[in-house]
Amino acid sequence: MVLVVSFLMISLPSMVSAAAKPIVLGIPTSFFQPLCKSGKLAVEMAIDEINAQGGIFVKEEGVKRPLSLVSADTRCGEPGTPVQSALMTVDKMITEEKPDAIVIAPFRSEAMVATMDLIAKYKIITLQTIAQTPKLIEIFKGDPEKYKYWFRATTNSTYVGTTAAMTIDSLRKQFKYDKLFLIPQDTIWARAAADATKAKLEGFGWKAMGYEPVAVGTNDFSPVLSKARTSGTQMLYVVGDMPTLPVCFKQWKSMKIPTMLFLDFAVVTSTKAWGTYGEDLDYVLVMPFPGGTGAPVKALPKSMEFHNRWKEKKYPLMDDPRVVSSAYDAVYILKDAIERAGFVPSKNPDKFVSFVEATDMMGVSGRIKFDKSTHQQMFNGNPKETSIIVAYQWRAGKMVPVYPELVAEAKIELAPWMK
Amino acid sequence: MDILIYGITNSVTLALMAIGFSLTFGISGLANFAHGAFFLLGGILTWIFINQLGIPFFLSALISIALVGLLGFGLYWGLMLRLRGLAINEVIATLAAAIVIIEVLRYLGFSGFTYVLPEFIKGSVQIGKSWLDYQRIFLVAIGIALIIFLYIFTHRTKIGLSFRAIAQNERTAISLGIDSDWTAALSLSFGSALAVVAGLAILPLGSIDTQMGYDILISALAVGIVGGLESIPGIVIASIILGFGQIIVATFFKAQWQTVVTLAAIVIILAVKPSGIFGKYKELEERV
Repeated sequence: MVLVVSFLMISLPSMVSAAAKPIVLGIPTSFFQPLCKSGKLAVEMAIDEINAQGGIFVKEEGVKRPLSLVSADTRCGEPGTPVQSALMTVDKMITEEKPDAIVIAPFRSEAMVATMDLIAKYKIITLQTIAQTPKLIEIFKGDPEKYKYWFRATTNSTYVGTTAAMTIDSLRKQFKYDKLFLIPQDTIWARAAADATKAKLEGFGWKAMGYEPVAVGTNDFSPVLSKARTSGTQMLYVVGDMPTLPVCFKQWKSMKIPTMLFLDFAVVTSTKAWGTYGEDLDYVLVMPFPGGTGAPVKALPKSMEFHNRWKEKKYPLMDDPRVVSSAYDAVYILKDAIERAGFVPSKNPDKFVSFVEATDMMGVSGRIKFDKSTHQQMFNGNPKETSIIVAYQWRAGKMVPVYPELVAEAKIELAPWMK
Repeated sequence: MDILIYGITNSVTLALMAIGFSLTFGISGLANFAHGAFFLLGGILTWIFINQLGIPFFLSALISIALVGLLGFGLYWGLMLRLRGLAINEVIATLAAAIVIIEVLRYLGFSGFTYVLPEFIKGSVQIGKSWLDYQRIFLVAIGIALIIFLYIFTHRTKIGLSFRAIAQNERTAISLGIDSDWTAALSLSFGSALAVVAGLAILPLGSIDTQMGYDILISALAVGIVGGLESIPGIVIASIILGFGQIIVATFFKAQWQTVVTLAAIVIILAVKPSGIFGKYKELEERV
């Protein structure tokens, strides 16, 4: 009898939990894009961790509810997919699958901008973790009451651009460098990124020695690299996403261009990149965002946990680690808000908004807090205050955190042919 | 010095991209629009043999060249034989084959930046004040060796002579006992294999991406149109013009205008001499 009672006492809570209706998270995004695929894995990892503990305790219901996941491919990361098609996919998911909240959300900024109205229409709490455009904040600010269900639980392009510029500027302090040469891919987004970096660095006292957009498909960068060499520049900033861009950093090394190289190119921000490109990456500066997503940072304990668990799960190395950790954190932000609110987001989304706004917890990139006036996750250089973005330098197969100083594990080193 | 060195490497790169296309067209009159797809397929097959099956690079390369060569041969016997002489149908069929190959590879996930072929030797060497990587030196050597090989092959071997005979006058060649279809199939097979050789020399410079299947075809066409689609000397001259033109424009103007060189050269050549600098394909019509 004692054994039976003991068994019931131990197993009852988990039996209740198993029987409880799951809290459904929806991921409508473009699975053609590697960062979306990895983002989904990160969400699944967080869900597995939470479910292993019995789920999320919902106070009003007095039970622990497990999490489950539904996903839909918006295909908005594939060439030629119209925004309307992505919107229909999101709409279908919300109306048919009825998720309690959305995480990750559409890939392309245009699709995300259009999705804002769907989020408002269906009043569905959304922790968006990919699109970086400042336009989303503009839309939110245009009608905060209407768009209050939207939160950007990751960086935005302003934070990313500023941190890139500040990383480069740290070379001015360390090596007295002040000459910059920019090579953007000749596309609107890459030129915009280069323009913003140039403007910021000029503001810090840097001099732009050259600005050379290269056509998509360029497979020989020797002319622009030669120009950079003769211009007397000390810092190269290269930005793009075209398949031939690896030729650029390979030539930077083989031609022994006497500059440091900051590469704004997602593929080389993952630890997987060393397996592909090897020592050609040595001394290159990279910046996956947010902090800790590309490689662990000792000063960000959650980033160590995140990467260890990724390994334990035997997930494939990420092709593109950008914002993947944000997808993971988004699930924990929801868990935290549900536990504080005592109800699930879909029960009373209007009321639930304030619980997400009040988020204050540690995540992979540091302390997660939202700016109530923009619903944007806050970032600065101190992980104890807000989240951060970290720049790394490739050294002998490792991504070594070098900026910001508070979390840096080493100083930036010059390439050997520069010494 | 950089202009001279990288002008040469860029020219040889373009010549390598175009030479297989030109060989096939010169012999059989067949415009193989699957040329870029074969270039890509050869690169991916080699990557699979090296990284998935653990086969050494040079053996992997040989197997890929042989397999794609066989595929080119099969494409002729399986498809092109029925369309022989119908120029538009030939273009549509080979383009369709290209799209199938490229899009199947894309569907299978061979896209992105994971797929990289090893360089023959890593490192670079100083020439004057410039530095040049060994891979580009090999690339130039392969390009030159290939052109010499093709010359000897088409002038000193039985198959090569039959290639030239068919190219010069198909009916006379047939009357002398040369099997026209067999020779055309071999030419497509050779052209396809040459696309793989080009890929193995060029791809280690960057990474393999399915989009290259289309880009390489465009480059090969551009060189062919300027030099003369069926002319190997034309390919060499056009590659030098375009290769140096691109480097000079990028050096003295803006790098983004590099692509304009190719397009401008095509427009000018089509307006002045539609058969290309050394092309004779429609020379008589042009004169008339």
